Amino acid sequence: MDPVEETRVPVSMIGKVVFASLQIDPHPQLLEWLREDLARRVVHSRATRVLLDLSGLVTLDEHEYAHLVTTASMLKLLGASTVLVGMRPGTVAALAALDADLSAVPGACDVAQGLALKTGD
Amino acid sequence: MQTDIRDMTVDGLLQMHDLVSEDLAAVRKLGACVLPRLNEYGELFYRWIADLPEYQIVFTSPEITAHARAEQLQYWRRTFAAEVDDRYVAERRHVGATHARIGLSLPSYFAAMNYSFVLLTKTLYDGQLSNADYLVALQAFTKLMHFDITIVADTYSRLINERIAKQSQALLEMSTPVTQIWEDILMLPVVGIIDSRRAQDLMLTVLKRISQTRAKVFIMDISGVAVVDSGVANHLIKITKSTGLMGCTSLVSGISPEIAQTMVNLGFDVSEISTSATLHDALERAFRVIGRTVTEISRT
Repeated sequence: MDPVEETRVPVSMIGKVVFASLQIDPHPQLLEWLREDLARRVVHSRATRVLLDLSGLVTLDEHEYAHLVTTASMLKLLGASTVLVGMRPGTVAALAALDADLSAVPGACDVAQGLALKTGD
Repeated sequence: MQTDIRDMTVDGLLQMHDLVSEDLAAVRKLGACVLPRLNEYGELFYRWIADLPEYQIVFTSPEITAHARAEQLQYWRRTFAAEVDDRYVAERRHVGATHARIGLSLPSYFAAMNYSFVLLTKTLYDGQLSNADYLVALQAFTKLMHFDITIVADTYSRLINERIAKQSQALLEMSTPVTQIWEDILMLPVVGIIDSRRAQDLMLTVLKRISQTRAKVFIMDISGVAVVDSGVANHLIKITKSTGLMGCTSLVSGISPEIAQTMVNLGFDVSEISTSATLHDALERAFRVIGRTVTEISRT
């Protein structure tokens, strides 16, 4: 089944912060689209913070996680720091078991905490 | 052994111990000589065990001894009857379960079986059978005894293993007391030995608590950890990093000079985790992270 354009993740703004919420388990094309959309939005809005809501995800394997980490470092080059929001305990534990680099991107339990987080920039 | 003793049929078990119907017949023949003097066996056997320390722990009252003795004589009657069927196997299993329950060790059981063997085939044997018959009977009786021992020992070790598994499960559940000691501060004192399974369990419990309480700081006190080697240090570092993804800073306290030395010698990048020697320091730092201070109040 080809990935459909409709699954594309909507990217919105909360004040000066770019916000996107992943509600379904991602496929490679979806992550690729997300990266493009986020990069375009950051450049347009000159935002310094991106919130990526992952609370809808049940599974996230190390490749998908690595993809998100690369996206985050890409956005960093564009001047915005990324915060992963609402990851489930099981997802985090699974990533730890897979030896993923967990300190690559900061995280937060919910959107409010993510907005309040100081990332040192 | 690949096959599970519990799943085997009586025929399978008989085959495993090389027992054929001639053997069982030979056992019955031996039984005809020995059974009339079975009470004498009881006397001799219980005189023998009276001196053994382990039995004194088990046989605490005359009633228990009398009951055990009656059961034991019945046991040998069933052995010499040599009607090996499902009921026979079930009775042997029951013996194993009883021994496991009262805590009689396997070596004591083997010693008792060995002494019984000597009593029944030598001391009490009256020499009625011809030499050839006696030899056949002896061999058959040995095989049947091994058959019994297999079932008893299997049941025994199975039950003991189940008990240990249950206990370690209970211990695991008790061993992760993640407590919220302040608004936004969680604390976990880690005590005992850490293996990869326990570390995983710790991590999941901590992460779940963080998502429940939305805590911002997590203090892990490792002063009670028995041994810190590279494996343990790795696990701990993983836990502290994983809390970061939940928006929670990790502080590790209770680092003794020995542990500090081990971690440095193992070449860990100490800058990636925030550590302190005492819980006091860690708590102070935690307050700073959540933007609170502890001040003295004047009591006048």
